[in-house]
Amino acid sequence: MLDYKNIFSINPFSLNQKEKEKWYYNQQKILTAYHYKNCKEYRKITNKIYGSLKRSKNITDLPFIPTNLFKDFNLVTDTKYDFSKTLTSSGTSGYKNAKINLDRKTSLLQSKALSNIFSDILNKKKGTMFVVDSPAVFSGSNLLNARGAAIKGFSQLVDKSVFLLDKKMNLKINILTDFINSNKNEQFIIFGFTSFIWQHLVKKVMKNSFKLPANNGILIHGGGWKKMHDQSVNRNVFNYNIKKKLGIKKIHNYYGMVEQTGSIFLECEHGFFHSSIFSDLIVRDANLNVSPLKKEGLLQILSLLPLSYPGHNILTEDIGTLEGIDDCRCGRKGKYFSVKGRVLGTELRGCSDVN
Amino acid sequence: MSIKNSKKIKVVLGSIPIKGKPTIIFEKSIVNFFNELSINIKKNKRSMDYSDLMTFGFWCRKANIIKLSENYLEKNFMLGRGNVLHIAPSNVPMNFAYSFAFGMLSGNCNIVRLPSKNFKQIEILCQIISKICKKSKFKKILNKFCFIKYDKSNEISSDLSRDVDARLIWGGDETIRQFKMYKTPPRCIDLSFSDRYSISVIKTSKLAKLTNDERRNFVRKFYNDSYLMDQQGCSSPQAIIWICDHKKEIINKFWNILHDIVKLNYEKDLSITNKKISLIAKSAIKTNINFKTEFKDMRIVRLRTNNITPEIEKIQCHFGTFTEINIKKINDIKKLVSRKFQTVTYFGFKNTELEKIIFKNGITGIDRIVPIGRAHDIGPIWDGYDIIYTLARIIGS
Repeated sequence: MLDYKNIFSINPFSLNQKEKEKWYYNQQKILTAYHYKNCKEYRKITNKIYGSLKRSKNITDLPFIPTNLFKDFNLVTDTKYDFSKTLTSSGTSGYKNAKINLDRKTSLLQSKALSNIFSDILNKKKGTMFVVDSPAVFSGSNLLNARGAAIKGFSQLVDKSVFLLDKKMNLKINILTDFINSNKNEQFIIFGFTSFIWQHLVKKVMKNSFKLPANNGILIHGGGWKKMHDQSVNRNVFNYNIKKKLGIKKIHNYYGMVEQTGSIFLECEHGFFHSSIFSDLIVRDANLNVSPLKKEGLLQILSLLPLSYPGHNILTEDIGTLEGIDDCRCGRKGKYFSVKGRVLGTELRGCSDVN
Repeated sequence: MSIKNSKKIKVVLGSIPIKGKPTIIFEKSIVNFFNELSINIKKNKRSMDYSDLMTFGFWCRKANIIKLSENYLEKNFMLGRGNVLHIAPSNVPMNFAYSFAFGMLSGNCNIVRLPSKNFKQIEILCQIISKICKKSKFKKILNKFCFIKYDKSNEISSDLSRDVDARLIWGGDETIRQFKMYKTPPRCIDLSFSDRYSISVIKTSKLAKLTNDERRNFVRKFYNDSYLMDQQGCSSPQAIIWICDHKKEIINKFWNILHDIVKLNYEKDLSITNKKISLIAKSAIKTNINFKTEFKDMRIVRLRTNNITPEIEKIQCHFGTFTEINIKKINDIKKLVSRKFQTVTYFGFKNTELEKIIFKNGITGIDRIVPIGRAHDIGPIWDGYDIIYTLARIIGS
C-alpha cells in the first residue's frame, strides 16, 4: 500500500511536475491495482473497457471511471476498516445523488490532506471558523451530504466553528460583528458553499446597506458557480463585493467534489486552481485524448486518498483548461487550471421518455 | 367526456371535448385531408429544414394512403372505435403525426398529447393543419381531433383515460406503467409501445461482393439508421451481428467507411463523449457479458464479444456505440433474441430466412424485419400490431 506517512511529510505544493510525475504515477498504479483486486465493479470496467491492467505506460493510460457511476451504483472497495459514513452529493433536485462509502482510514486521510493543503494559506491552525450554513445540515445519521462533509472537514482545521445561519436560514450577523469588535487583529475563517455565501451573507449584508469593520478574515468557499452564473455573478463581482462589504481581503475558492473529498484543488491569489501532492489532473478532448495546454476539455481528476471506494481516478462532468505547469505567479509548483462549468446536456432523443 | 382539469390543458389545435363521430376507415374526406396536408408540407418553405417533417409529408400523400387502404378495404366493414387518446413520446418530434394519422385513417376521433418540448417542426405542422382546416371542405375535420399539451399530471392523464375507446401509449416502459394505473372503460384497447432493442444482421460474404460505390451507399444507409437519432430510437440498431463465413477484412472496411461518414456528418461534443463512456461503463457493470472496447477515436466505439446470449440487450449502445458479435450461421440468431427485440435491419440474405427461424423456434422477440436503411420507416404495422386494424371496429356478418 501507499506510504502515506511519507506523503504527508511533503509540502503539498512544493514538487515540480517532473519530480512529481513518475512518483505519482507509481503511487496511482499501486492504488489502481488495489481497487482492481478489491472492487468487483472497478474490475469489470477495467477488463471490459481498458482490456487489462498491465498495459499502462504513464498516468494517462490508467483506467478512470466516470463520476456519474457513483449515482447509479453503490461502489465499494473491500476494506479491513469499519465504514464510518456515507457521503452524498448535494445534487440538484430531480437528479440522482452520488453515494460515497467511507471507511475510517479513508476518512482520516481526507481530513489530514485537507489540513495539509490549507496549512499553505492559514499560517496557524487555531482560530474560529464561521460557517455560512445552518446546523440543520447535519441530519444526525451517518449519511452526510456534500455540504455537511465539507463543513465537518474544515471544522477540523480550527479550534471552534460557529454557524452563521439559524435553522430557518436567517443570518445572525451580530455573531460576526461582535467577534470582530472584540478580537480586532485576530485571524478567522468564513467558510461556506459559494452560492450560500452569496445568497445568505453577501446579498443580505448588501440589502441592509451594512458593512463589516476591517478585519483579518479569510474566506474559503467551494461548490461551484452554476447557481451564481444563473444570477450573472462571476468571480470578479463575487470577490469585489466580499472585499467591499465584508472587509475581507483574502478569498480562496476551491474545486472539489464529494467523490474526492479532502484532496481539493485550492485557488491561488491569481485565480487558478492548483493540484497538490495528493491530486493530479488530466484534461481530455471529445475523443478522450489528452488535451494540450490551454485547450478546453473534460476534467479527469486523480487522488491518492480513496481506499474504500474506486474514486482515485475519475472523469468528471466538468469542462476546464490546463493553464500551466510549475510557472504560476503564486509560486506553487505543479499543474494549475481553470474550470468553466458543467458540460451542457445534449438534447436526449429517442422513443423512451425516461432517460 | 368530462375533463375536470381542462384549464390546465393547453389546447394547441381543435377543441376538447371532441364533438365528432367515428366514420368508416379511410373515409374519403380524411384521405383528401391528408393529401392536402402532404401538398402543403411540400410547398412550405420552412418544412425544408426538417427531414422528418418532409418524410411525413411524403408519407401522407394520396397515392400512398390509397395503397395502404387496399390492405384493409376488401375484407370487412370497418369503422373507428370512437375516441382515441394518443400519448406521444417526448423526444421524437414527428411520431405524434403518424400516431394521429393512424387514428384518423382508422375512422376515429383523436386526442393527441404533443411532446412537452417545443419542436419547430411540430409548430410548422400545426400551422399548416390549422390553415387547411379553415377551408370549407375540411372544416368538419376539426371536430375529429384535438392536439393538447400539459405538464405531467396524474390527474389530467387519468381524466383523459376515463372515457376513451383506445389509447396509444408511446414513450417507453415508465410512461406505460404510469398510464396502466389509470381507470379506463372495460372495452378500451391499449396499444403500448415499450422500450425496445434493435439490431442489424449483415452477411459479410455479400458485403464483400459489392462494388466500392455500392458499399459506400450501403454504409451510408446504416449511418442514417444509427446516427440520425443519436442511436436512441427504438429501431436504431445497437448491435451488429456479422454472419461471418470467411474473410474478416471486410468488417474493418465497413468500419472505416462508416468512420469517414461519421467524421463528415456527425457532430460530437464533450457532453456526448461523457454520456457515451458513462453508458459503456454502466453496461460493463450491469452485464456479465465479457466484451472488449475498441475505438480509435470516440466517433465509433465497438464493443466486441463472443458471448451469444439474450443478455446483449442490456449493453446500452447510443451515440455511435455498437455491440459486435460474429456468428457462423444465421440460425444462431435464435440464441440471442429476447422479448425486447424490435427491429432487425438486414443485409445479404432474404427476410424469409429470418421469418422461418422465428416461426420454427417460437421466438418472442423481433417485430420487424426490414433492409438496412429503413430502420425508421414507420407504418401502421409497428411493434407487432397493425395499428389501423386494431383501432377499427369490425362489424361481423
